Amino acid sequence: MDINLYQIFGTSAKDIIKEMLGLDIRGMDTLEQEPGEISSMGVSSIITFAGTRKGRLLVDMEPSLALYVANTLLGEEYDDIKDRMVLSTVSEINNIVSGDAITKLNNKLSMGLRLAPPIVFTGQDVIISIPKITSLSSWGDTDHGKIRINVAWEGGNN
Amino acid sequence: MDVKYILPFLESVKSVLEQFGVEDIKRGQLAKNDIMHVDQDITAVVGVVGQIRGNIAYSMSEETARGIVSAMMMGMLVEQLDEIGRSAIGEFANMVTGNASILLSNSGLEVDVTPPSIIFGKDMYFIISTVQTIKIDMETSLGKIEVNIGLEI
Repeated sequence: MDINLYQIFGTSAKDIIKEMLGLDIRGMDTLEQEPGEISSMGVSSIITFAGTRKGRLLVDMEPSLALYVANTLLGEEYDDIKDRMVLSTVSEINNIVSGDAITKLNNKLSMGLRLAPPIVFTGQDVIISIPKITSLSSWGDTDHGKIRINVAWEGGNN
Repeated sequence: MDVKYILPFLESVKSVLEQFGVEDIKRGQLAKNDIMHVDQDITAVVGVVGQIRGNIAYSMSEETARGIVSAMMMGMLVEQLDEIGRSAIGEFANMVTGNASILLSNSGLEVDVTPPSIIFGKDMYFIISTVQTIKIDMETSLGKIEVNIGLEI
C-alpha cells in the first residue's frame, strides 16, 4: 500500500485550513479503514478524479465546523448549514485541498489526474456508499468541531 | 448550457433502462437550479472530466431503486437494497454516464468518467456544480428518476 496516496490529502487539508482560517487540526495522524458505508457528520463534500487511476476525496465536517468555516471566510453570521453560501464554502475548501494534493501527486508520480467539480450535501441520516472501493479515513479535531478526510482509490491500495 | 451536452445523458438513461426491459420512459420538463433540494431517498452521482467537466446526479425513491436493481438482475425479487443492490445502483449510474461519454466522444469531445458515489438520506440539499444545474424528471414504469446535470464547459 502506498500510504502517500492517502496521507497527502490529510496533509493538504491541515495546511490549507491553517493557512486560510488560522485553524489548527489536531490528530489526523493515522489512517483507518472504513466499511462500505460512511455516516455523514453534518456537511460532506466529495471530489472525484480520473487519470492513470481513479479515486475520490470525501471531506466531512460537523455542522459547527462548517458554519465556522463559512462565517470566518465570508465574514457573515450564517446559522443554517443548508444555506447555499455555507455549502459552497465547504465545497470550495474541498476544491482547494484536492487541487493542492492532486497537483503534488501529478508532479511527483505523473498520474495525469483531473478533478471533477466538487459536490456538497447535507440532510437527515445521510449515508455515503462508494461501491467496490476500499477507503481510508483520517480523523481530526478543531476548536470548532470534528473533521474527517476519507480517500479511496479504485483498484485497491497499491 | 447547450442542449447538445444534455441530450446524451437523457438518451443514455432511456437506452440503459430499455436494455433492462424498463418501459414507458418519458422525459419531463427542464428546470434550472442553483441548489438541488432532493426529496428522494437515493442519489447516485458520477463525475466527468476532460473537455467537459461536471457532475451528473440520478435521484430516485428506494422503491424505484429496488425496481431498477431487480430489472438489472433479470427480474429477481429485491426486497431490500443491501450492499449488492447499492453497488448495482452505482453500476447503473456508471453505465448511463459511461454511455453518454461515448455519445459525446462520437461528437468529438474527449470525456472520462469518475467513480460513482451513492448518497442516502432525507430532505437532502446538494450543490453539484459551480454553475447552474439543469434538472429533468424521467418518468418510467418503475417510478421517477430525477436527473440533475451540472456541466462546466
